[in-house]
Order: sequence, then C-alpha cells, then structure tokens
Amino acid sequence: MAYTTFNKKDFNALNEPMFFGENVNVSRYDQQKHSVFENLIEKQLSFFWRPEEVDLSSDRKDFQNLPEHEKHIFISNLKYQTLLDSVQGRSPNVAFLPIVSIPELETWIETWSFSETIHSRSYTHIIRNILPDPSVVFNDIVGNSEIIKRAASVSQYYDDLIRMVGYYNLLGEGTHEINGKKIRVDKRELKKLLYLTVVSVNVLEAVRFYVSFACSFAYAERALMEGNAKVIKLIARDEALHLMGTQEMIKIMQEGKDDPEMAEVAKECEGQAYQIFIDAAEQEKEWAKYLFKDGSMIGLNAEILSQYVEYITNTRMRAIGLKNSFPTVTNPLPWMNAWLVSDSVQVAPQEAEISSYLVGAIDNVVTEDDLNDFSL
Amino acid sequence: MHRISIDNNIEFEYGMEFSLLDSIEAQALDIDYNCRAGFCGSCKATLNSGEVDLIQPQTPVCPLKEDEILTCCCRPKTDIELQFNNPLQRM
Repeated sequence: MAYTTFNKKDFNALNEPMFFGENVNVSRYDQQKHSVFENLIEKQLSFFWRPEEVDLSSDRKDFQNLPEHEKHIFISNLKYQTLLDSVQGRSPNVAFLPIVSIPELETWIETWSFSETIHSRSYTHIIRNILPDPSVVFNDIVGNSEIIKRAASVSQYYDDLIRMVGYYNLLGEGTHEINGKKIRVDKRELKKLLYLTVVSVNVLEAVRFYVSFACSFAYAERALMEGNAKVIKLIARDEALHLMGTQEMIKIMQEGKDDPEMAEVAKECEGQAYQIFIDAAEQEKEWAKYLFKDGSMIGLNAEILSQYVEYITNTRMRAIGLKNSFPTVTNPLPWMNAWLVSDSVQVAPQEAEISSYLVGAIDNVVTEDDLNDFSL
Repeated sequence: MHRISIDNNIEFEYGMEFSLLDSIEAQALDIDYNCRAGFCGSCKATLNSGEVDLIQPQTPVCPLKEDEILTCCCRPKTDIELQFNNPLQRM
C-alpha cells in the first residue's frame, strides 16, 4: 500500500497497532492507544534546552592544560557522541515514520529525533568553545577508522529497515525483480527487522551513550571540563526519556496485545536480540582500549570502563526481559549516579558551579577600576 | 538505622545511602532504573508501611498511584516495607 501523508480512510486510530497499520491521518492528542508516548512527548517538550544556555568559558583553559593522552580521550569521546547523535537526529524519523500507525507514537518519534539534533548542536557548541578550528574534529570523524567501525554497526539495522520499508511502501508484499535482482518483501520479515532495529536503537541510547557519558563525567569528577559535563547532564536527561521510549515499544511488542504477531516475532528474535546487546558490549570494550591507548586518567581506565559496559548492558537487558549476560553486576562507577539526579538536588555544591546560577551571571573578577566611584 | 523490607522476603538496614535506590543497589538486588532523576518511573515501588523523605521531586512520565514511590527520590524516615511489581532478585 503506497504511503499517504493524509490517509482518507475513515478509521479509528485507537484500534490500530503501533506499526504497519493505517497511515496516520489526524494528529490528535486528546486520546491515545498508548498514553506513555503522549506523556513522553510532554516530558521531552518540558525538558527543551539550548546549548547556548550552558557556560563553557572555563572549559577552554581546562582543555588546553590537559595532557595529550587526555585530550585524545576527550576528543575521541566527543567524535563518537557526534556520530551517534548525527544518526539519531535523522534515523528515527526516516526509518519509523513511514510505518508508524498511531498519532502519539508518530509525534513522539518526531519529538525524539528533533531533540537529538539539539544534542548535535551542543557538540558544535562545545567544540567551538574549546578548539580554534572545529573542522579538526568534524573532518576526522569519517576519516578515522576506529570511529567508522562504530558507524557500521550503529546504522546497519536502520539502513536495512529503511530499504525494505521503501520496497514495501512502493511495491507491496511479494517477490519483485529490481535491477535484475529478486527482492522478497514479506510483512513478517519486515516485523522481525523492525523489532531488531528497535532493540539496536535501544542499545545505542541505553548502552553506547551511557558509556560515553561515563567518560565525560570522569573529567568533571576532577573539576575539569565542567561546562561539557553540564551539557552531557542535559543530554543524559533526554536520553533517559528516549531509552524509555524504545523500552516501552519493545515491551508493548513483546506483550502481543497491540499486535499479536509481534509477540511471536519477539520470541523468534530473542536470540538475535541477545546477540545485538552482546556484540555492542564487545565493541564498546574494544573502543575503551582505543580511548585509553596512550594512557588512562584518575578515576577511569579501560578495565574499569569495560566493567561499566558490562554492568550497564546487564541492566538494560534485564529491563526488556533478557537475562544478565556478563559477570559485572554492580556499578563500578557509583559516582556517575550523582550526575544523573535532578538539578534540585545539590550534590557537594562547593565542588562545582551550580548550574542554576549561570543564567545571566556576572563574573567575580574585581579590579581597582571597579572601586573608582567608592569613597568613604 | 531504619530497616528496609523488600517483597516480604528480603530485609536489610538502610546504610545512609543517597537514596533508597542506591541502598537497594548496594544489596546487589536487580532493581530497574533509567533516569535516577524522578521522571522515568522505572524504580517505582509500593510503600506498604512506614514513611519516606523526598530528596528530589517525583514527576514520573506515568503518574504514581497513591501508595507508590520512586526509590530514586526517597530516603526512609522510619522502618519501611516495599513491594515491587516484579519481586527483586539477588544478582
């Protein structure tokens, strides 16, 4: 069935499945089949922030004074985050919008993808503030073999789903000959690809991003690159919503009430879902070795970060009904949790500038000129 | 120190951790969490008895029932009994 941007059929969206039902027509938010997506939209809108709100003035000096190997860790981590958010700022829209069939999920997908572009803009803000030439960082992303390795695994499922959905919307189910090749379009296979894509996106946000957050916060734990940490704190707040979104999609698919066939698909794909998590964790551990190849830093090294990879992967697997697959079950980086709590909780305020004071702040530099008007 | 009872099954003493969530994690129990900031609702539990102090606002995406709390947002004020939808397991 060809995709239409305004489905002229008269149907009740409350009876449609999340995906592969009728194309959404009226965007209405007064009723939902799955209210969690409406709640996520509202929460994400309330979290809206602009990178320019965060003061990065002390980060430039901090970065210049970092030893070379710590500059490598910081910049490599930032390049990886840039890659991930570049993908996330477009892929949920491109991959999921043509097949979504309930308005609250359609709009959640757009809200989610849009908020990832804010993250991308924040990386430009950070890089501009710490380096005289941002191109040195951006241009190396595609040229760096370690980074490109990550790109392949991160975009693979998205690319396959986008291609197959393209055939499905253009040609429908069946076997078609395209450019001399036989292509089989089968809805059941599409649903399997969708399920595995959502799992891989969950891994991207719930595992890969959180490993990168650990690196960012490790600097701030030493009172370095604190502006960057404040940006990452805001990004982490958004990512918690996003990963909740993919977790909910997965749980709804597994449950089978929304689309009974998806429950069968989820069961069939369980082994592959395990493999997606395990493969990602192994890649993240390899990445940790690259990050720390020239030396580690106080509070973090390849070994501890690898343990964190195992811990966080276990946690995220359990959240979607899979079992622990790695030995590390307790958090080797308990200090990370303090960075994730809400701003209303001041944790050791004397150790970092309180973020809520920075809007419209004055500096505390006083010179003799400032006292010129003063007389006893 | 206040006693924390989980699912009528596991009991331990609160060790002055930052939050109930931290306290439960210190016991190597498989409690779920996402945001640790009071908005995702993953760490939710039913407070069957006792009182808690709030350490950060509870504003979960899916509203809490009257006797529910977010463990990342609370500390025990008295001895407490908690119940989880999926009983917690030792890891």
